[in-house]
Amino acid sequence: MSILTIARFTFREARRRRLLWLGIGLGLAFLAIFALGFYLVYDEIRRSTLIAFAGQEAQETALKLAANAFMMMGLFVVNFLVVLVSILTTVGAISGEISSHTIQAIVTKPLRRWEIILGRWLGHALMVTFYILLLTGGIILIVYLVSGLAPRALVAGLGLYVLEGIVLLTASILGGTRLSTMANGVVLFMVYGLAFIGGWVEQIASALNSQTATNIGALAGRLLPSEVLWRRASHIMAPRVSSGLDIDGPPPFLFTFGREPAPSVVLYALVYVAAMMLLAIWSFRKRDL
Amino acid sequence: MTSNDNSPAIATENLRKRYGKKVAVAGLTLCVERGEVFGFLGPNGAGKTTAIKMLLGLVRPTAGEARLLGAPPGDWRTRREVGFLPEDFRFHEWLRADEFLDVHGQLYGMPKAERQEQIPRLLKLVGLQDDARRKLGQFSKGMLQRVGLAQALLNKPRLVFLDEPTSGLDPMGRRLVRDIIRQQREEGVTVFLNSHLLSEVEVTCDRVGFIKQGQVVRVADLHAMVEGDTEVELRLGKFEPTFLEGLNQFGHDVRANGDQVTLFVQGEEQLPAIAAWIVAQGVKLYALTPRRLSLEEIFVRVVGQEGVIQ
Repeated sequence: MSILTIARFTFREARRRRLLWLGIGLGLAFLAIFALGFYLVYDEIRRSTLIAFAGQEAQETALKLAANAFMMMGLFVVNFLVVLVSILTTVGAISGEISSHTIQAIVTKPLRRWEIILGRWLGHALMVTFYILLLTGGIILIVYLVSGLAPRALVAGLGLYVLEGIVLLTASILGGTRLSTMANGVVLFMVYGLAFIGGWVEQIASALNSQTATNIGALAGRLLPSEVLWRRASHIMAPRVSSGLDIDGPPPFLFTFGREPAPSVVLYALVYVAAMMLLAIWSFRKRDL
Repeated sequence: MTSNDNSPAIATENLRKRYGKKVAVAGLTLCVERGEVFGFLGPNGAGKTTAIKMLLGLVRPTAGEARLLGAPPGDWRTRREVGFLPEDFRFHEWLRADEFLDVHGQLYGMPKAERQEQIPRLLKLVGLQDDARRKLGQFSKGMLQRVGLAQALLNKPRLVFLDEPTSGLDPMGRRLVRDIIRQQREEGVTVFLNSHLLSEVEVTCDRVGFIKQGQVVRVADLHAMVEGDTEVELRLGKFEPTFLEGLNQFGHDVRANGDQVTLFVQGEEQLPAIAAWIVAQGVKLYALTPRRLSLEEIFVRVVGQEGVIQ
């Protein structure tokens, strides 16, 4: 089982190079600061809403709005951390091995090249999944414990966050089969930026009923379907704040002001991951080392 | 799957590799029999490492055929029986020496019990038994070379490629590599040795192949070649230019400088015949001095010549 050997090796590498412990340590520090900040601010808001709003329902709605905004802001920051971690930890997974020549003693062992790609992918995917669940789960748990507010589609939302990380790391592994570590990193962040802007264009154009601009934005967004997954996750997780008012959903200032992306984006992302993996395997198999 | 025992360890037919317009290997035709230690010699940039990489499936040939233990170079099952010490090898510096060998043992598909038996034995063989738990990042270049050698022998290979195994090693280390190669030969292992250190090749190899501009220009039995290539220096009395042409029948590269004449002959058995012929020509012979060529001199002569000799 060479895939598992490579996956275990990837995990051990992260542990030995202190990447894992630093990631967990800083992640926990991030959660601790968020918990403290949220607790103090939420307490302050609770006291002021008691004065500002007369009715109990209005008070609860205001508090839910505040908790929702905090949860979504926390998840928004986590999203950027996930983007960074997914790309930075995998950007040299293959290209670094090639440039340092360590790959030569591995590829000449009795295993097939696709096993190396799959093993690396599996190891990184498990670590990124753990990291995403730790941070997003932590944010959601803190908000729930302090305010009692829980997201709606929790499991599906977490699944989308994980899928977002996997989209990024798969594209990163594909790039690493042909590009140098630095070139791969630059290309990935540029494409991410392109997709991010594409998401804005799509949402704004859609609100203005401009079909051409919507299509262009959507197309750019699909180059790296990570941002669109984040938007969908935010929409389906955003707690129901009020039954009467149209104020549900993620706060618009987090660039999620448009409509909820269609469920088909999930299928698109899954196909995207599969296609990137096949391309990575094909590209690495053809590569002279 | 096991390899075909009757096939040569390595067989290539007009193997070529081109990177864009640059031809790295122009047409390598080579046969290495099982159980022999084969030296692969050539100047820098001759295509030696590219040739090894093609044989190991690291680089895809542009054209030509190759067989390793009877199987195509890319065949992953055959690699169970192949060991490789890369030239510019780097291993993961965060691993300890024993962990490094364990990971590579796992990649060979070796069971745990076999790894536990092999790893201490090999670390002892390469003189690193006291450094098993040190990280590779703390190793000197020579120590890395040794642990790399242990890695290449981990799976008890039937064919092992050593690409510059003595670079970075001190005299003791070089001697160790020599002894290990000899031991491998005694165990019937085929060793394909790429080295710049011709003195090493001279004492360890059975046969050598000279490669130049991506082509094998000569393959020869090393011992026979070292004995066979003899330079003869003659000090003569007056002679006619046609006399030099007559000397060509005994050897090649006849050159005259005043009363000094040099030529290269195959073996010392010809020396009495040369002396008799000179005297019969009426030329006075004051001195006839044979001098065996070192592998280095042969190397310079072979790779210095244009075209394919053999």
